[in-house]
Formats: sequence, C-alpha cells, structure tokens
Amino acid sequence: MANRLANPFAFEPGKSSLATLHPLAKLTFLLAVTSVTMWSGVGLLLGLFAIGFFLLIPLPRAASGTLSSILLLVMFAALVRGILPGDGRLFDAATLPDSGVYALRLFTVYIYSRLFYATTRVSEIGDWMTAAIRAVRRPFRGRAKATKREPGLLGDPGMLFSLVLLFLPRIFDTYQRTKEAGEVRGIMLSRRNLRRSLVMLEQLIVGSIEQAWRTAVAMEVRGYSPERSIRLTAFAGRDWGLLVLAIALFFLKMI
Amino acid sequence: MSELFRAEALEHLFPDGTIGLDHVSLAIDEGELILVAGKNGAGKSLLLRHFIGLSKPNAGTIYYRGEPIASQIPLIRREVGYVFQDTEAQIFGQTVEEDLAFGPANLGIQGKELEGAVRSALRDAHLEGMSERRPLTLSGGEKRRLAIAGVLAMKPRCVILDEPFANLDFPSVQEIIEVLKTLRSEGKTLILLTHEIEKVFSLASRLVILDRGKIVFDAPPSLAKKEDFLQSGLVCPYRECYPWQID
Repeated sequence: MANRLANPFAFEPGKSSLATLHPLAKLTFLLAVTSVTMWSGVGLLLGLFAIGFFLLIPLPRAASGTLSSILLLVMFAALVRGILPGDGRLFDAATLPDSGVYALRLFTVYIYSRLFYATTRVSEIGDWMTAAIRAVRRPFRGRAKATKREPGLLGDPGMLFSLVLLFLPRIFDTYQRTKEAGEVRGIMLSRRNLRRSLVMLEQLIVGSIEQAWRTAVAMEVRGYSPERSIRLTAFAGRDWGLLVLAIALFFLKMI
Repeated sequence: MSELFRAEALEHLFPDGTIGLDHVSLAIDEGELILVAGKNGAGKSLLLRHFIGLSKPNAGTIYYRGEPIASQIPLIRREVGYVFQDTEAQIFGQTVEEDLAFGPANLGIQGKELEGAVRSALRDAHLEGMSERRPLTLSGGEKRRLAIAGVLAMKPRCVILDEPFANLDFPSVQEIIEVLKTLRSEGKTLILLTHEIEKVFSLASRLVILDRGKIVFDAPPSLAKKEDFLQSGLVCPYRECYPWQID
C-alpha cells in the first residue's frame, strides 16, 4: 500500500470547514497569502503563521516523514545564506536571525499550501482548468468541428491533471514493489549496479504503462469522454469574503 | 426474459496465431446470473471484452439488445458495468464518494440525482460510512466492493465481474457474495467470470464452461456432470472431486 508520504496532494480535510469554500477563492487567497508572507514584516508574518497554524488544527496530522522532510528543506534553504561567506569561515553566524525569519516565511507558505491541498479536491481544480480551456477554445470550435477531429484528453486538462496526481502514489507504490521484488532476488539498488538498475527501471516503466493502459480502458468503460459535462459550483457569500481578503492582502503587499 | 447479448460464431486470433476464441456462440438473457468458468487462459475475459466492445473479433458478430454492438457502444457504456480483476486501475477518486460519482457524472447525471446514485451504490455495495475514506487506505475486499459500487452508481442493467474473488480472504468473499445476492434480488443481469465456481455455484442460474476458447458446457449448473469439470480442469488439485464438496 502506498505511504501517505507519497501523495502530498491528498484530500484529507478532517473537520476543517475550509473544505466547503470555493476552490478558486482558496487558490486566490493562497497566492495572496504566500506573496505577502515572502515580503511582509515580522509582525504580520507571525500573525499569518499563527492563523495558519490555528487553521491546521482540525486537519489530520501530516505524517512525521513528510513534516521532517519539509523542515529539513526549510532549514537548508534558510541556512544556506550563511554557509561559506567567502572570508575563509565555514558559516557566518550573523545571518542566523535573517535565516530564522526566512525559515518562518517558508514554513508559513508550507502551512497555507497544506491547508489548500488538504481541503480541496483535485477534481474541483481540474474542472475549473477544463472549463477555462474550453472557454478559450470556444471561438475555434467551429473550425475543429469542420476537421472532424476526435476530442483528445488534451481537451480536458483538468482530468489530465487529476490523473497525473492520482498516478503519483501509484507509481511510487509500483516502484516500491519493483524494488522489493528486486531485493528479494538479490538486486540492491544501493550498490549502484547500473545494468541491474536499468532492468528494474524497465520493469517500472513497463508496469506504469500497463497500469495507465488499464486505467484508460476502465475510464472508457465507466463512460468517460473528454467532452464530459462539468458542473461548476457558484461563489457563496463566504467565498466572496475570502476573495476580498485576498485582494486586500495583495494591496497590502503593494503598499 | 428479453435477450441482452448474443454472440454468433465468434472467433479471435492473437497476433501470434494462438486461438483465443473458437467459434463461440452464446446468448444471454436479462435477469440471468451466469457463471462463466474455465481455467486460466480459457478465454473467459476475452469473450466478455468482446461483449462490451473492448476487443474486436476476427470473425463473427455480437448483438446487444438485437443490434450489432458497433452501433450500441454508447448504450453499452450506460447499461453494462464491467468490474475488472485489477480493481486499483479503475479507481479514480481521491475519496470513495468522489470515485463513485465519476461514472454517473460522465453520463451527465448531476445534483440530487448524482447524490442519490452515490448513496444507493454505497448501500448496495455495503460501503456505508466509508464515503470520505481514501481508496488507497481500503483493504483488498473493500477496494473490490468500491469497484463494484463505482459500476452500480451508473445504474447498469447488467454487471460483468472478472474474477471477483481473486486475492480475497473468506470474510471479503462473503461480503462480495452478499453484494451479489442484493443485485440478484434487484433483478440485475450478472455475469461472473471465475474459476472459483464453488463460491457462487448455488446462486447461478446458468453455467458456461470455456476450454481453450470453446464453450464445452452451457446449461443450468445442476445439470453439470463430473466429467464436464474434469475435462476443463475445474477440479480440486488434491483429488478428482467437485471442488465445492468438503468432507
């Protein structure tokens, strides 16, 4: 079974009421808040961090593996500015306060990203992507009909996006199984044996292609067509409120 | 009972010349529970893939409700559900509920009707209380029931299940049998492809045994003789007996 770690885009809202908000309103707010987070003063940053942290509480706790990987990345990104300052020292301790603030900025961005992904279904974002592409392509539809071309999956980028994210944990799962199957037969990837690793890579690619083929057939059997009908949810009062807040944050950043 | 499927002199040759189906003729009526049995490679899945238009025969014709299937594919997609042996490949949703909505939404069902279809599929597949679960966290038996529910949400007249008991423990098999009984009571046509015939033998109204691409038996299960099972390899590996007889 795939590890939770494998899918950072998993929809797991827990008891969070954010799941009921409109995905576009949340996406706009995420863009605004990350933009402000990277440039704001320490006071506002601490405020945004505290709010984000408070909103995280109703969500299921992220796997410790995910959190430690993120923390490691954040710490590295923050401390890198102090490494080898060029005067012969290994590390410049004077950069630590700035690094701390930078780490807090990155971690705040992570918190709001997690809030977004954990409370938003990929299919909701995908449906809006498809609707946007269809709107752009509408003026050219007459010409496409004249050429009688079959609509491909590229005409439904939302489904393509959903499938890519759906496949990420499955590919990790296939990789894990292929790796274990190789290990029990004496192939250790850690030994850097290129020829044997290539054999396993071939298995992984073939397995993934076969799985993709089975998925495509299953989609067809379940009535999928790239011209599927999409029902987009309308903005409610709370969504407009979030949108106004996002615009206010953008405005705050500009001044 | 009206006729649902009819295959006439169906032949399928693989690219290497191996015979997949050899002059197969078969009619399936609505409301039947047909057990299509045969050992591995007998042609069970291949035959039913032809029925839903996923494979093309080298010779012969298939009819769905009296019309050649080439013109009936959209209707077949709407009315015939297919549960594959590899259940994970047919799960598309991030949650159970989202996956169940995938099929009916593709058929243009929306709003309250969609919610109702999802709810009734959850109930029929005995998955109540799991609507918010992530499919990857389900057990093998639950995933199999989710795959069945995904098909049921499309309100099919006929459900084809390819090896529905593969890799399942006894409690999971029992759950699947309960689901089949529910569907049978609703009058749906059920076609089960399996070599584990002992698990559903008593439920079936008809047994079709395939051997090397040929139909070697087609009658109610009670008419099957020991020789029919022996000839097609459907015997207990430890002794030559009916596989469902336990001393």
